Amino acid sequence: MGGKTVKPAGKGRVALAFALTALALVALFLVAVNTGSLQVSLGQLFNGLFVAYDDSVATIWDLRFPRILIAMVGGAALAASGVLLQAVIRNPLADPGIIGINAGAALCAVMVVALFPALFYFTPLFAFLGGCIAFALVYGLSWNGGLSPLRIILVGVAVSAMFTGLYAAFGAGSMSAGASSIISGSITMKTWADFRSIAVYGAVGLLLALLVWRRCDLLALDDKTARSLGLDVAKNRVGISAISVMLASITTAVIGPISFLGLVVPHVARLVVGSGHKALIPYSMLLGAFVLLLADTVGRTIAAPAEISAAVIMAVVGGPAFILLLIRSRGAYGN
Amino acid sequence: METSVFTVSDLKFAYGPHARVFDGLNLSIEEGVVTTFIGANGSGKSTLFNLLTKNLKPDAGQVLLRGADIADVRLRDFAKLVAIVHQHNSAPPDLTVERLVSYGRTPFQRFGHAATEEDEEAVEWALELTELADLAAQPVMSLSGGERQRAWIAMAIAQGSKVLLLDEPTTHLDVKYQLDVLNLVNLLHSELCMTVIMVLHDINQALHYSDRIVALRDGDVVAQGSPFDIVDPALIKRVYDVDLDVIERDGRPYVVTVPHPEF
Repeated sequence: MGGKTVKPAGKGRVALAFALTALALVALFLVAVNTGSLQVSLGQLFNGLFVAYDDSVATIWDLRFPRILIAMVGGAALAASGVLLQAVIRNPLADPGIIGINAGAALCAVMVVALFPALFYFTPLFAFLGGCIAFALVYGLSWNGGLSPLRIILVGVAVSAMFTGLYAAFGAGSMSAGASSIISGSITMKTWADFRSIAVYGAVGLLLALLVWRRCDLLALDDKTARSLGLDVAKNRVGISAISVMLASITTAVIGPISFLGLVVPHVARLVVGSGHKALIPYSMLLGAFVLLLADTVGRTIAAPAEISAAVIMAVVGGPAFILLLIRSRGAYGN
Repeated sequence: METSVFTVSDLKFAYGPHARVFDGLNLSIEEGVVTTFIGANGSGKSTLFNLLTKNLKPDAGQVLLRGADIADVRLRDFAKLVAIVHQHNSAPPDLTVERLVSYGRTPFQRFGHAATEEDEEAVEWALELTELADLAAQPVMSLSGGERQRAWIAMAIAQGSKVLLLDEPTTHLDVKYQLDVLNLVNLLHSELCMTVIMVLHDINQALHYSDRIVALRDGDVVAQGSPFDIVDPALIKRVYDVDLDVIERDGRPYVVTVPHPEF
């Protein structure tokens, strides 16, 4: 870490940030519900949902609600995954997309969907396996008596490219609609079944992520110092990595690989609520939910009736953001 | 009869097949005194420090902490008995002194539980002792080198253990801050009766602040005991391979760390 210091975020500022972001998420949710060819008034929506059957509302319920909720859970999961990954490898530039976890998860998910469609509900588990393989590869190949921040990114980019090539080739060969929907990273055509899949596994992952904040705080110190406080650094690295990989893989299994969200959201969150993980982890989830829902909603309006996938939106916005972070932190991560 | 806090018996350790550091080291470190390891670079003093603090595992032999093999002591329990200040320390840019010091209570906090009154008192007490109370709300990384080192010592104090180990606590500090840190360590020993074990690079600071000296060379203890008893030009020659004068001030030996005109 460089000599730069940052003013610590006060409790009032943190509470305000949570409140404003939550409010923005609710507002965005209502906008997203009403975005598309079919539109209803707020009153009609409430009436249709809670009082009496309404044809339009029922259609929106079946087509838009799953997609909106999936985007929110997925965004929260990817952001949390990024925070945990950054804590584990002590590198704020780590992102599950950039270092190949998403690509590994996507490859396994695509293979399951194409080859064993009967195992649909277990797709997230296979994706988790793929994510673990990719992460183990990156970690193993960049280990050199320690983890150099730059080395892990470089190895990650290579592993990511390899798995991306593999699943693209595999997907092109299989021609399965389910497989191609994973590859594109779009949230189109999602159903309540998809939501159940991401919600069940995602809830477990998000809950675990919320429990490890104290360990993440200690990992931000030097390894020996963390050990001197009684933390088994190696064991906790493995455990927290597993949670991170799980969150990213589950999301990838349902939405497809989305890069940069796990990088940009935690970074912005750190600026707002500080680097203490007690606030950082939940706030990143909230902000992640907002950002992915925004990306998806913008993606389906900007070129309507054509749709631009959330993954593309995130890449277009996240790529430049990543470059900006690299430039800003040149001194700190160049070695 | 003196009691020993650490007992090292027949300790063997190597970093690799051609990098043996200790081959059957035996050593006893007394409870309640300040013990300092001295030695040239590569003498094994840092390796010994890491073996005592469970950061390295011995290939053979044992390190006993008050009779218990530390290999069998869980890290968390070890942290309740022994506080350690390592040489290299960094923190996130916005981590405040108070938060850092509160991390010292980690070994006592049950998973998921909030800090108790006892924890808060320990943190406050550590901040007072290290004269950091006024800086409690400042980010650690915004402090001067000397204040920063005091913050890490405060974290160790908050652990409330009776044994404090410090690995070259004065490295990279201006001499004013070096003395600040060593005076603080001295205070912890004299006021709180803490057992202090440290590695120091500066031979005279080692002689001044220590009750016992352990002099290492090539993985062997060449001398140990009170500075009054063991330090003479012959020892300095054996440990550092230089001919230097030893002078006395108030009966305590010091080494003139520039060559004698005759040489």
